[in-house]
Amino acid sequence: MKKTVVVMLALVMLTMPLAFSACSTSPASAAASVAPAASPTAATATVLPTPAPSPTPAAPVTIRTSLSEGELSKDQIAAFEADHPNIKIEIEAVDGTKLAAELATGDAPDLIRLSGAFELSSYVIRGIAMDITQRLETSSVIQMNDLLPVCNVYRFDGKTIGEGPYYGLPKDWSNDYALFYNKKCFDAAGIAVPDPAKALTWPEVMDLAKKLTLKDGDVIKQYGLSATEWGKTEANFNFMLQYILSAGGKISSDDNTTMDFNIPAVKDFLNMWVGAVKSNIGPNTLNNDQTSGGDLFLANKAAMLIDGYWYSGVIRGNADAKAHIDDFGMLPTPTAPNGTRQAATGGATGCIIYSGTKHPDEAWTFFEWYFGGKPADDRAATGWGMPIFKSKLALLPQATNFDKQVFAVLQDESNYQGILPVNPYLSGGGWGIFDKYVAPLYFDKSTIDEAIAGMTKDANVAVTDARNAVK
Amino acid sequence: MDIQRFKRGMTRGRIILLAMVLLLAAQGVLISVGISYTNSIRGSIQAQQTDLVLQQSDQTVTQRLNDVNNLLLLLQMPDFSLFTANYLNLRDESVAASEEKRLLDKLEALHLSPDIVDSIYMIGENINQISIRKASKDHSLEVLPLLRKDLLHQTGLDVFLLRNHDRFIRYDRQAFDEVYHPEESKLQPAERNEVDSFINSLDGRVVLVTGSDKILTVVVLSDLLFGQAFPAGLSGRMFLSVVRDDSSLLWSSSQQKDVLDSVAADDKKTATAAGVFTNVSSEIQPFGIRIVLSSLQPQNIMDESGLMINMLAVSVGTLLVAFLFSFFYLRFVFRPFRLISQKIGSRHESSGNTPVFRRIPEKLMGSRFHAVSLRNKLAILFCIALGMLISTNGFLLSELLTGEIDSLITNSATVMGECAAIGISDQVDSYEGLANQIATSQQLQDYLINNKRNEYSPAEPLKMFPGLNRVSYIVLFNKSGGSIYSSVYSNNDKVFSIASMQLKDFDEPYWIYNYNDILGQTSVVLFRKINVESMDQSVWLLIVPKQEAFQVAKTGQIAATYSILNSAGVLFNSNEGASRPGGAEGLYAQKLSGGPGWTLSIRYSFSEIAAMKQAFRERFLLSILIVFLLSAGLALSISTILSKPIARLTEAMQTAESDGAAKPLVYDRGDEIGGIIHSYNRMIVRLEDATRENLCILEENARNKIRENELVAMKTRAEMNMLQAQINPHFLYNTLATINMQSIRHGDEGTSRIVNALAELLRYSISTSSDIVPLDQEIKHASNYITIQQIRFSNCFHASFDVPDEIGSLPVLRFILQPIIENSIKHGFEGWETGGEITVTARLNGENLILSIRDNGVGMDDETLSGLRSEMERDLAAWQAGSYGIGLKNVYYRLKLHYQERMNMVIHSELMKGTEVRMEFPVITRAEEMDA
Repeated sequence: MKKTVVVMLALVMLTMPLAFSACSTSPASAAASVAPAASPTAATATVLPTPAPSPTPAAPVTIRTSLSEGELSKDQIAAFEADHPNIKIEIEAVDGTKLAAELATGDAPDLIRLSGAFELSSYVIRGIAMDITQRLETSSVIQMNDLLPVCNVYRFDGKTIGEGPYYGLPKDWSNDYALFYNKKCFDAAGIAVPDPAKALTWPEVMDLAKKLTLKDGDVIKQYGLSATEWGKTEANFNFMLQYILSAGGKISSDDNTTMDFNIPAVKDFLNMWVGAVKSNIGPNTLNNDQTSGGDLFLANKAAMLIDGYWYSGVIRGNADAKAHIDDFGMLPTPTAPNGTRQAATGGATGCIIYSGTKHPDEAWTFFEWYFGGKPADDRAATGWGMPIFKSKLALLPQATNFDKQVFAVLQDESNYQGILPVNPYLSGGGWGIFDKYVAPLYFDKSTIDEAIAGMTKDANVAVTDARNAVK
Repeated sequence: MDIQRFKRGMTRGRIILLAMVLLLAAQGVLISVGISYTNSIRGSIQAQQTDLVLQQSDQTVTQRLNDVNNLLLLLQMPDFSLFTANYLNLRDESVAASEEKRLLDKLEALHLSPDIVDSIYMIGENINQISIRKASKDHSLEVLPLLRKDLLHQTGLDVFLLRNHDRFIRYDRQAFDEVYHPEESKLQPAERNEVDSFINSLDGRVVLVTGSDKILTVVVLSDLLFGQAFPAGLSGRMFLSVVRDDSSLLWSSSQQKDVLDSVAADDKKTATAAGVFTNVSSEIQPFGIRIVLSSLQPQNIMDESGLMINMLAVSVGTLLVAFLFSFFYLRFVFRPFRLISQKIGSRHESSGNTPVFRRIPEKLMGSRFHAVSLRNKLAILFCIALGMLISTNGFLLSELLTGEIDSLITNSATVMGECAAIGISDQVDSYEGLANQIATSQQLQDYLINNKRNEYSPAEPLKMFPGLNRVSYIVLFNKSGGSIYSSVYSNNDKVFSIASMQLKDFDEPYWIYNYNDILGQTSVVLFRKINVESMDQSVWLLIVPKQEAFQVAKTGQIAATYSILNSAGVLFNSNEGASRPGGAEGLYAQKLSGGPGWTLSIRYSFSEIAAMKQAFRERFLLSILIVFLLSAGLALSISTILSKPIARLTEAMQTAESDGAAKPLVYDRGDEIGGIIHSYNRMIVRLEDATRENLCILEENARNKIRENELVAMKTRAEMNMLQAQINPHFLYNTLATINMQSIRHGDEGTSRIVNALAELLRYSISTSSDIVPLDQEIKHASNYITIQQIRFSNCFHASFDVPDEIGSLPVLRFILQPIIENSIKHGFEGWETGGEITVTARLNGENLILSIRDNGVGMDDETLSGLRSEMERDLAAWQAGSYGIGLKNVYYRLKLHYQERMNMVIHSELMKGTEVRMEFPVITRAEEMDA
């Protein structure tokens, strides 16, 4: 009897902790339950409706492009997606390093944005660009005979840019080495604006700039020339290529495997620019004026600016300039002395279709729409760049006198659309080499021959390296 | 003897065992409840602490990363970056030298802490540009003669570094080796040396790289950037790791490989030799970084030897006290049992065969305590004593565990407080750094010199300045306290005017605590004097930090009430106005290292812990209550169990008392009660033996008495014989015979008959021959008596004898008829004058002679008859001669004495109908009589 009681008691006692421990876990479990309660919301927020890998027709295909949001608006994407429910468009911001990484893993955007003039050939050599010639030929949206010659920068046969298959199209283009003038500065200098119907030679431009440069003692009141809207009035590699193009020079071997800058056109070009810099016709390294060329031009502190048609959009959009917009106008792209007119584009920003795309058809559909469809019309109407179709040139702004003046010069310029002699292996690499050897010339720390030799040497190293990399 | 004692102690032993079991079980319950709660509370504290530390670390690390990122942005501003893009190698040496000095001054003015930034590389594009390295600890620039962007490009290092531009990354030598192959590059030995040296200084360090065509900027960070963001004292228990979103580890306070691996793999747990670490992480979004806090999971609290020993000590102590108490208490409680048992036991052992029973004194245990019932005594033991012990035990355990929890909270508060202190110190450093950076701004200088906006870049001078997003607003004051620029309300400068006394001639930033900001709130603000170059005058920069600048992190579970005092002990920042949250509190107070010497006090309130502590306390009390109730129940049941045999014993004793027959009890346990019962049973056995012996003795005594009486009778007879001898009955008889003769002579026949009868009567009476006479003689004697009485009473009755001849000679006891006849005459016919009838009948019934004396007298009423019968049944010894029936009783007793059980006498009587006395006894010859 007593033993039973003891056993019973022990059992009761033993079960008590169990009961308590069961109770006691409740605060802890309550605390723990906070996390799971919060996590579903987090989960739903982060989980993206990724398309199922199965080839069900309902699953939309996502096409990624490295076009910027300024170039491809959300409204445009929405409009496209509404018309093409099977395609989703995703903008992916990439820079050179990120793109390189993505290319290395075969995960690059389907439509890769690039500078047609300088980068196309390099991309083709590296096998990144898809040949779209056949698609262009059969396209109902893009008529090939309607394409302007500038589209040739997207053709490359392995040796010569402008020949061979099409690998892409520019979204727009500009005669990037044309001149804009600010009549106020011309007036201030008492000089008449040159005839826009006739192209000046570059030395003439420099002379004009010297005359347009006004000083008050040592203080410069007005520059004659802004070489770029963003920088100094100094020579750069692109200017040199345009000069060579106009002069008819040749710096690359036929197979682009070697380069040689030791040609008269380069010497003339450098001589001209060293003189111009030393003459302080614009803000430069010597006078150490850090003000950008565009600011000076719009603020009536520089009489001329080397820039393409697209810059007319900037002038239209600038409050100060707009007030006296009729003072502004465009002059044709200057030529080398005795050279041909070459209103070449230095950009022709556009897209190639990535050769590794998993959805070439959908990528093409989007490509076709973006370059030939409504977005092309929209772009032309803004005046921020020229259309690539002859038929769309009429869409450019022509309302004001400024518009009309610029449009008139542009129509003339479109007849001289040469292609810059870009070496596919040097691609955009010429800028650094050029700067490295040309800057000392301004300080008389080097000679032109030394600079040409240095440039030739470095360029060949770069070309060789690039060729080795492609091999 | 020992075994007996042991057995007697069995009940006590069992109760003690039960008490111990109860106590042990109660302790088990209390300890397990305590441990379970403490573990749970500790787990909760740890989790909450981890949460808060993670949040605080997130704040701190984010702040530090932001500061570094802002520094990088600042270095990209033309003020700094132009130096490496302005062809200084092409310019005059004097220009280059002055620019170098300018850059050095600016960099120095930033007061870069070597604890945050190890060094800065500003690398120019090519040989036309200058490249420099500035180590934070050195006050000079190191000009790098050859290291240029194009040189790095040749080695592939620029692309490699820029691949992760503007992101915090850590490279080790292996990563560099993959891209950098010096032997394959066409570097000159000097170039290679510089590149190697560059790589060496980056190796294993967290770096931040950014670049343009013209410049490559590399900020090499100190390991302390993260190391200082986390209290060093936590090593071993908590590690902070900083991991990039590509899972590469930037930094960790841990050196343990398994921890580092699990952190990089984003595992939630790491098992190490030291225990299991739980990893929680927090994203620092803009930098693609997450911080991971690895905290050692608390072991079971029992594993902590200190607590374990203390709890064991309490338990063992309680058990010991309980054991000793119950032992002695029960010894005391059971003392009466023991004494009774002993007393009962000792008697039969001490006095040989004859039991000598003495009374057990009723006040055996004189004390008042023993007046209390056993049930209550046990209730006292279990409810009060054990209950109190358990309560005390519970209280001590609770105190131990609460102490443990409090110490956990205190430790936790210290950990969190240290994190918060780092955060606040960082904020101070960060704002001071911002003030220093703004002071170096060329744009601001230009603005101040021209006192207007730059005509080409009409933006506000500081609008895009990195880090300004952390300030509420900034104001520039001239030396008279007038506002000359503000980031807000710039069209109404006057609202910012302050007393010029607040503008101090310090070269370092200084804090003002009672500044009334534009919202009318008193704020802590930072001032910094800025010397305007080439104008020989100063302006003062006021930075008003955002409201939340000096906040201490808190979570939903942990509220932080904090206050910050400046070096003068004046409170200037506090959230104590907020309603004070309840909960378990941990305090932290520390003077912040460096900076303006602030003191931070934080009171962390763990709301959930307070509730858990309360629940714990309640559970504890409930456990104690349950144990208490169980004790009560146990006391009741034990006392019932104990009382039962006692009640049975008592009952048995009472029954024995009333019945006179004691029965042994069946009780097979050897406890105290068993002892008493056994003693009782033994006593009964002894008593039964004694009773049997007594009966024998009584019988013997009776026989002795009879013999004695016979001796007395013999003596009487002897005396009578002596009297007879003295009186000479023959003389009397002869005299009566003479009277008879005389009467006959005188013809007096009546007298003659009386005298004759009287003489015969006398002769029969004095006859000494024997008590046994032939029936005829007894009949003759009765007849003589009747004759005399008939004469006396004038023949009022008539007598007849019916005695067959053949039985006249049978022996009968003398004087058995006459007394009965006398009764009939005296009582039956009292007052009668005629009509009385007496019939004497003698019959032989087998071996028994039946004598009947019947009268037709008045008889007896029932009462008299029953009184007579009961009197006859009475013990011979108790017989007292009554008034009625002396003769009858005399006859009866004599017959009884003579024939003992073999005789029988029956009286029948009815009122007015008469009485019959009938006696039956065996016929005994003289010889038989002699044999008996």
